Amino acid sequence: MSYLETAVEFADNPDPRCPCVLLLDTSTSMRGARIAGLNDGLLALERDLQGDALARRRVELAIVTFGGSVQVLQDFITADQFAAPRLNAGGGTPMGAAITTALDLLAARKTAYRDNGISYYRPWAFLITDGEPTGEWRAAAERVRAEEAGRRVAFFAVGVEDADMARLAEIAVRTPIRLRGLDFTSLFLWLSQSQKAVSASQVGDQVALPEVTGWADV
Amino acid sequence: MGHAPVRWRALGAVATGAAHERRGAGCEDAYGYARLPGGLLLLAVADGAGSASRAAEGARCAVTTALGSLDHALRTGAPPLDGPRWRTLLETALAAAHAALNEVARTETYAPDARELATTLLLVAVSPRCFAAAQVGDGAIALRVAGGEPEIPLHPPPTEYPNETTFITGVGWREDARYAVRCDEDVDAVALLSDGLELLAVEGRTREPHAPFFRPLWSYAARGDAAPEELARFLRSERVAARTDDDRALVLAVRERDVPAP
Repeated sequence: MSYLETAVEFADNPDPRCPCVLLLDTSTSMRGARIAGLNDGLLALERDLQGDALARRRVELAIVTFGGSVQVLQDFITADQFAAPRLNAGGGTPMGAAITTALDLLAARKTAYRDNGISYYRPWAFLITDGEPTGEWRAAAERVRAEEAGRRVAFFAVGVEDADMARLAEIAVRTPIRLRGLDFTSLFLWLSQSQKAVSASQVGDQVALPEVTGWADV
Repeated sequence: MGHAPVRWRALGAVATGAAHERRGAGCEDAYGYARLPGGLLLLAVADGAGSASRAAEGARCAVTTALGSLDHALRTGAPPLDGPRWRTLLETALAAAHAALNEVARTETYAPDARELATTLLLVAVSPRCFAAAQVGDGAIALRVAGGEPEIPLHPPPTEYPNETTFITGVGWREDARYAVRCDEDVDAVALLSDGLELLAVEGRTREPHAPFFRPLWSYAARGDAAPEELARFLRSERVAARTDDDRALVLAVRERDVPAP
């Protein structure tokens, strides 16, 4: 190795984090092929992230499911320790409460980062649903709007098959995306690529993402 | 101090980040430097925004324009001897870069928005009496006084996220710009680096320079056989790539102490 490669010493800074909360619909309508596809997609996400040395350390994932009740299935964990769950489906679609839970989880994580002198990129919330919310959702939509306006989160909504895209458009500020068929794997690979790209500097509200092609119906 | 002319050794390099390679972009960092008669040294680094489609072009244009502005001012007039005059010179150079980038955007029909050329800009001018620096956006400028420890004389406004910064193309660049001028101090080494290297070179909590990063680099730059290819190899090395997937630019300058009289 050259002189510089051996002599130059690096500061001991913690890795900046990319926190991402997955909001997953596990209601009755997701039973069968849909939940199977979702589980395959999560496995693809786990593998793709763990194949990247930086992403393994930087990306942090949390999972909130909503099927009957809202469950924090996974609190924030670094990608290298993330194990894709095998989800089951059943129950109603308490989407509003799930969104609130997820945003609270993100806020708590940011506080933990700040308390420990760890820098972090703008957190992501990724909602995947095949239906429409049961129960109250307007408060959640208002919260999403406020968080986006304050640049505190980037909230993405993905509709699967029968999903009520119009309702999703009322909840998310960013235009919801419709999944092509049940190609969850491509969706999650896109998410993984996007997480890896997040260190690139942004102009204003732009999020420098890889193109949404292949897994979305335009 | 004597009448021996002041001379500087300078070298710079860039390396493309893995994240940039993944999306098919080339290196979007740029650097430049110039030595002028009278012991004057100009240095610049620019980091094109990852979300900008013409970031590489923006970074190069910013560097060329800003250095050109300083070069012109310092060849047509004596170097300033106080802070306010240096600041004016630097602000003029920044303004020239801002105007040039917006002009490029305006005259290009397919990219009417200057945000597609968005870039940060770090500028340094060193004269025998003064060190003057200006910064819009992230990255770091470090100096050394009389062979001592490195210092970082200015910091950009803090942002919540490390991938958010201000750009010289933006309408608010004047408010975002930071300046530092140090006169009658024995500044004998300078470094400019883009934010791809900040994790390695600057202590995150204190924002102080990590001395063991800068010392060997300045030692190397002072050597008669110092080569930019060696610096580039270092920036591309596994050790560096393991900690950052961003582009990185690094410019080093060390004052020559033993300059024989003509």
